[in-house]
Amino acid sequence: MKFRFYIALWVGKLISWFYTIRGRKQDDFPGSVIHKICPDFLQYVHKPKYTIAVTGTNGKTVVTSLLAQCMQGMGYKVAYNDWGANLRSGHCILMARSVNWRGRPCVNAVILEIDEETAYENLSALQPDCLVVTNICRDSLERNAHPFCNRDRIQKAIDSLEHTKIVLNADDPISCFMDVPEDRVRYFAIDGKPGSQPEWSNLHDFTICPNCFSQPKYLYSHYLHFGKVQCPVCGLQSPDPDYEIVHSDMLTKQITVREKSGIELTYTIRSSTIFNTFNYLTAIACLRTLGFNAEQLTMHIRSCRIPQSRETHENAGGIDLYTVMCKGQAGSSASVVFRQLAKINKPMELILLMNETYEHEEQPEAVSWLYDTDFELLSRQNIRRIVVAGPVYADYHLRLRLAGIPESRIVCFRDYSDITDNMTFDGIREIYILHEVHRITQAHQLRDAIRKKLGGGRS
Amino acid sequence: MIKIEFLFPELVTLYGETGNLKYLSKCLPEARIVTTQHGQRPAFVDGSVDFVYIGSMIDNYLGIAIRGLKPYRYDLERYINSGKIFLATGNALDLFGQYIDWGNQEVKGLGIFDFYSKGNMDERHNSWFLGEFEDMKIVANRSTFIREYGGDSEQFIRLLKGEGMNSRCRFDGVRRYNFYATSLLGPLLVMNPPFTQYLLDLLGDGHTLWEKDTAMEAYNNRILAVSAL
Repeated sequence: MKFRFYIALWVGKLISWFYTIRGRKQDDFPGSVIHKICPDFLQYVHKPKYTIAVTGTNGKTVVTSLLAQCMQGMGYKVAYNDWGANLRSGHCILMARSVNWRGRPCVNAVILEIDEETAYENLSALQPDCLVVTNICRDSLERNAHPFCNRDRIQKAIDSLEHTKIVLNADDPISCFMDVPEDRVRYFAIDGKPGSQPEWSNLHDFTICPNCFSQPKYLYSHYLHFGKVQCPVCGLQSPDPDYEIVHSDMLTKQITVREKSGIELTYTIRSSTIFNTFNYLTAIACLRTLGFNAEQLTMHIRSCRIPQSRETHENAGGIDLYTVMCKGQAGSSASVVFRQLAKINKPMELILLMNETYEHEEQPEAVSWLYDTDFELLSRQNIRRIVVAGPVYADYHLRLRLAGIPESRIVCFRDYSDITDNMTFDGIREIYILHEVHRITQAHQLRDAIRKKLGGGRS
Repeated sequence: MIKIEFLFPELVTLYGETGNLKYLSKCLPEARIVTTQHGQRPAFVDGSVDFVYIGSMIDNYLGIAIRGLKPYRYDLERYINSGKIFLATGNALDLFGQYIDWGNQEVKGLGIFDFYSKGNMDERHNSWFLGEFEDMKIVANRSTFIREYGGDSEQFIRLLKGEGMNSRCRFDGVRRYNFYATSLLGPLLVMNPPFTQYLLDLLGDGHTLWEKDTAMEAYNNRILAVSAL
């Protein structure tokens, strides 16, 4: 086995080196070669001082990036895949890059984003020091769509971990009731407004008590199914958090985290959205669980940014131009973004680039997620136009009409190229390009074309 | 007034299937939609309902739904035999068969139809389906851990492209009078306006599709795309 391991490592490193000089560092092909040569590579590879795994439906990439930035800020040499690559081949190439030719760790920490569907096979081999589960929501149709299926997969992975500390979201009633060893689990939460109930949504992921199938009660709610729950029949209740945001000021972007020991620490973060606040808290909880110094953390968290692939902002010709990642095929992510947009009162235009990407653009795309997604939140008057394009434009059109959006505000094109040619900016203060994970380049190209049309430079 | 019953909304939360009811209520603005939670007495028992809908649920919930309907099994058969409309989509189909075999566990179904189901939580089947029912093309997705076997005597949709209820089956779903159950899922009525019009016609004259042109455009585009697979 040792022989196979070293052959895999050397071949992987060689291909990886070749790919890097050819400008293809963000390609996990070398990882798939490593796995082919040595299927147990992840098990045998030497781990650095810290191996952290991040899984869950939403927020994996952001939390991974925040953890990496924070640890790098504290002087650690960190390896992580900043382009995602959350399947086995991505893990193999990351671990290969984290050791030298002799197989000795050359970094202090590895942070792995783990796809929840394949969590078991990867985590059982990796046996990380810490596993973070950001949250569990419904996923795309092809990826099993229902959240409890993903929960069961992560549970199976947790059952295979021998010493790993586990960090769970106490405000996520789907993941917080997983069966985990008490001495190894830490919970995080954001204190909510007592008695607040889930707002209207098409998504209902936590409707019955997992214990007795009665209707659960929310003690407070944040958004979607997130909040603190209690079952009035069997008494099941969300666990008390070890790390809890007890105060947040979204103007100064400061959050105060109370730890179970009683200490309170104030952190400055770089986002004011609830979902990114959760992401920052997740990173803080993970690093505190691993014993990182709290004072040091408060100093370094403030410089950690949300990755540019998630959101960009610039002003062009007096119009604020945003690109925001908005996962398609799964209503939870898009609905959270829509809810955030619905709070903004400025006249705006939305461009939806949320179609799935296929090898062939005309391949049929599942549209069921459109009816899980809260398009109804976009019916506000200040959203002057909603532009959609792509092969399933007519499905979007019908969905938007069903969401109560007047015909006059819907603009549909079959071809994406028609979007910029038909743009009008009268009375618009903000333009949001909401794009699918794999449409970052397309979204940025569209943003650049709009900027050009507006006659603005970068600002 | 037309009355539509939505069975077990607290369980039926997946795949955008509430879109079926949203669309129906636009096509039938005068209709009243009543919801029945598990443990409650279904409205169809009293015969005061014209259309019953149940959709996909988390597979662990199938047993809860079966327990919820079991006491009303004969009322349900009476409802079906009366020719009123019942539509079941996705894994709700499996409620009405003989049993669901999960390998290590067998869940007894309502036993209204003679098919049986086999489930495997490690094997997800995802596919597009194109079929034909009464000269109408039906197009939709399937995404399931369960496949169905048997039920040949009461077939619903004839297979044209893709797979039937299992890899060898040439049809999908079961039908008896105006009871339609299919393993196809999602907003089936939005995605298949001709079938929706067919159901609307069963409810009486003069009901038309809401935003018919847009719905038909999306439908025709999808048929073209799936046909080209």
